[in-house]
Amino acid sequence: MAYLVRRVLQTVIVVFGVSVFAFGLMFLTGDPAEVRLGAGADLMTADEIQEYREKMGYDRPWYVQYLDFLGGAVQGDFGDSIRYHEPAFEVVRRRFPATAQLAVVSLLISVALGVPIGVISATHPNTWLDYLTTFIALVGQSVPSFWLGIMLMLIFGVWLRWLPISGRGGWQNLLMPSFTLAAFSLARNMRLTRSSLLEVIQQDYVRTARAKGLSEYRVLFGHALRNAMLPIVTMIGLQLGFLMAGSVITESIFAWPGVGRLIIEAIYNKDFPLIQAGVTMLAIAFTMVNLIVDLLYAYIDPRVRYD
Amino acid sequence: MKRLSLLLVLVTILSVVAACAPAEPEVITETEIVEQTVVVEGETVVQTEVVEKVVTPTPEPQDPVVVLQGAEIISMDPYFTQSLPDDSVQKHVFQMLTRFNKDVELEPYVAESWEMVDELTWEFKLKEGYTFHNGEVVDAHAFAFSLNRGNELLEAGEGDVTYQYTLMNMDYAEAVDDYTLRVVTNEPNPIMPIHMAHTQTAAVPPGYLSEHTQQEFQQAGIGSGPYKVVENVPDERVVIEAWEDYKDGPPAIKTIIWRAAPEAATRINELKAGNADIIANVPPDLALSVDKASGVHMAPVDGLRRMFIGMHQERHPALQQTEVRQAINYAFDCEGMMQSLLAGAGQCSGNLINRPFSNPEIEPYPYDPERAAELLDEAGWVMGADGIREKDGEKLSLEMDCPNGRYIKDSEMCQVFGSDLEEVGIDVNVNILDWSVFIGKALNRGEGFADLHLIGSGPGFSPRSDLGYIEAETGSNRSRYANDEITAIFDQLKTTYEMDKRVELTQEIEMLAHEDAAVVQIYFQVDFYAASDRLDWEPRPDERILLLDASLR
Repeated sequence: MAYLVRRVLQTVIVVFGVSVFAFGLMFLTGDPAEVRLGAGADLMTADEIQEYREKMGYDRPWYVQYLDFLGGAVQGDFGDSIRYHEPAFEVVRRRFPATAQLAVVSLLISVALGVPIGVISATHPNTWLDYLTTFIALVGQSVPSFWLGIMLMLIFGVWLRWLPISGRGGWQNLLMPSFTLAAFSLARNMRLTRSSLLEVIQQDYVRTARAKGLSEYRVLFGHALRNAMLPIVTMIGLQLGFLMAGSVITESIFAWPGVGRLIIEAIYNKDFPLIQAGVTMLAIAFTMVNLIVDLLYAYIDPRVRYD
Repeated sequence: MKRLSLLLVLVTILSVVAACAPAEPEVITETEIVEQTVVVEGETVVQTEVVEKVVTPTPEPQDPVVVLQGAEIISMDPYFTQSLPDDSVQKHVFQMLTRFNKDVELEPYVAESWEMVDELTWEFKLKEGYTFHNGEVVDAHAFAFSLNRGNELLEAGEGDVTYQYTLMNMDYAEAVDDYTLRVVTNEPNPIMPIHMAHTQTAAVPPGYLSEHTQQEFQQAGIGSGPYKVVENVPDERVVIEAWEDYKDGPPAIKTIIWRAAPEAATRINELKAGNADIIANVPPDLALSVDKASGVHMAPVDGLRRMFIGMHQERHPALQQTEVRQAINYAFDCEGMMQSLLAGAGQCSGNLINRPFSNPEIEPYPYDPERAAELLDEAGWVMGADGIREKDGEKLSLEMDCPNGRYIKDSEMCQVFGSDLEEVGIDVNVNILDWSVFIGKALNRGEGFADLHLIGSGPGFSPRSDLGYIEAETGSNRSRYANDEITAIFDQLKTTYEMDKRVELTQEIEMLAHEDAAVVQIYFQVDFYAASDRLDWEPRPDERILLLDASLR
């Protein structure tokens, strides 16, 4: 219970820190009033701009504005998006499912392929199979996602015309972007599985299990892999948060209507309410996932202590 | 065994070839019993005959035309967005009093005529017979409602109308009768008909808006144009269909799907794969690969966005000297830059005003580094030992702010420009900035800008507004340039209402600004579109994609 309370408090502090940062962005990029007025500010007098500034509350002390922002944020009110003219929270919420879908499918691919390949590699050390899988991992972690995405697009979308190239739709639309996003995680899962399993295979109890006459299958999946999975489970849990937050390049290439791309466009357009809403909500999602993973980890492995 | 295997392989190959061969077109027939009355040996007899007829097949439904732009459609309420992609769609769905044709000439649209009845009042006579997609009548009352709505939004600080309605400076609009509209302004505005071509003056349905929220209207996009919105999936696509009940007849293209893809490579791949018919913003270095692909072609057009370099008058003292500004113009090899960066696609220009109102006598400064050196010497900036000119102990070292990725080859242009100036002894340090940072410096009349900055300015559609950049004290004047002679002519413009005379005065300003080297004018940006060969369509120079006159080949 103490551990739970401590972790929850840490999460709250992190989210609070992110909210301060997101709020502060508004002041780092120029006068919020003129930014909000855009080209219209060019046609207004200084008095008119000041009048607008007072009307929007931008003339108040920063800490007063922050408390106002915080009070709204805890209720999901980040103000209206300057570009979309609707509540920023709604704009972000509308895009969240697309990012979540992409992240979850990418995670599934990276686990469904990465772990088995890692097992194969660990059980056939120093063979051509091992070298091949290591090479695949190296490529997966080295190739930039924008290059991979465009190559997949060219091969499967333009040359073969098997898959749609961009946009969100059916499962066919999901394949290329999720593979692009999963590539790095897949390679990492594969390498982690391999190294973790190789370490466990060297343990005495595995040798004992073999000596008892258990089948190799039973030794591997009944004993070795179960113990090797602990760090892998941790990594997989953390990956979900990273996938959600790091999908912006994939979303841009495949015109996937997700939160990552929305935030980048909001930064480009200086849409402060949208930036604040997007960054805060992504931070909450990321920290919540980490919290759940940490709690699960402590539950799965009683040996873990966080003193 | 071997022969059997070979036979099997041959059979397989033949089967595959047969399967891949284009099928013979299916012939559809139907039988019909034809009765014919004839006279046989004096008796009237009805003869029947069974006739087999070939039936003309029903034409295949027309494939939708897909337009792929660089950003999603944000709103189908023209008063709540200034985005160019939105404007392109809205010009199919909504109607204005006037519009610009493909040659960027103003022409009547819903208004059939207009006149300035007094200094503050414009009167528009409207055509009869147009209706909104929901059945409401398009008349002077609808337009008065729409324009007054724009004003109300401005007052309330809502919508996205600040720029347009501040520029129009309208007091109110009223319907004199069903088809006569009067627009009253706070100050004389001789170019009101030009303003009435802007999408933010479009007619919106008063009845619908009185019963629905703005959010609902933003989603529905009910206008009176040749197309109506049939599907609007936020962040994904807007689908419009030709409206059969349009007064002037439905357009040729039945269905248009508007989508977005931020990456140029994605747009190009969609076009090559046959999933898109028009794409915007093709990088010039990829134009050749598009032209080589089958079924598609490049469609470049000389645009109306002028690219120039501003020289801030409140920074380095050298830039306040006309000789130095002229020298910078002479030192810059514009033609060379067009060849090296744009494969010759750009046209160097000395004009600040868009065609057709630009002064035809203005020629761009020629590339003449010797003349540049002479002018710098005359201005007292002599070459130092380190290759940088100096005067009274001060070096002629300039900082240049440059956007990155906002305009075609923008950062490359700055670097080429900087190296040209270094050839004549002007040291230039180029700061490449993300657009969001760059535009922050542009605020408050370029308060954050360094000595030089590269910027583009879109078409103002009137010679007067094209010159905003060099008009003293205006917000657009981001280099804070001022010239008393030019200011006097601007004052004269305020009380000149005849268009011909206004054009004459603006051309005079343009010439003076050119001779005084107010800016380093580079070129009017070429807009690179690409289209599928099945589409008969021409791009416009004003960065709008319109298919009202397009058709399928």
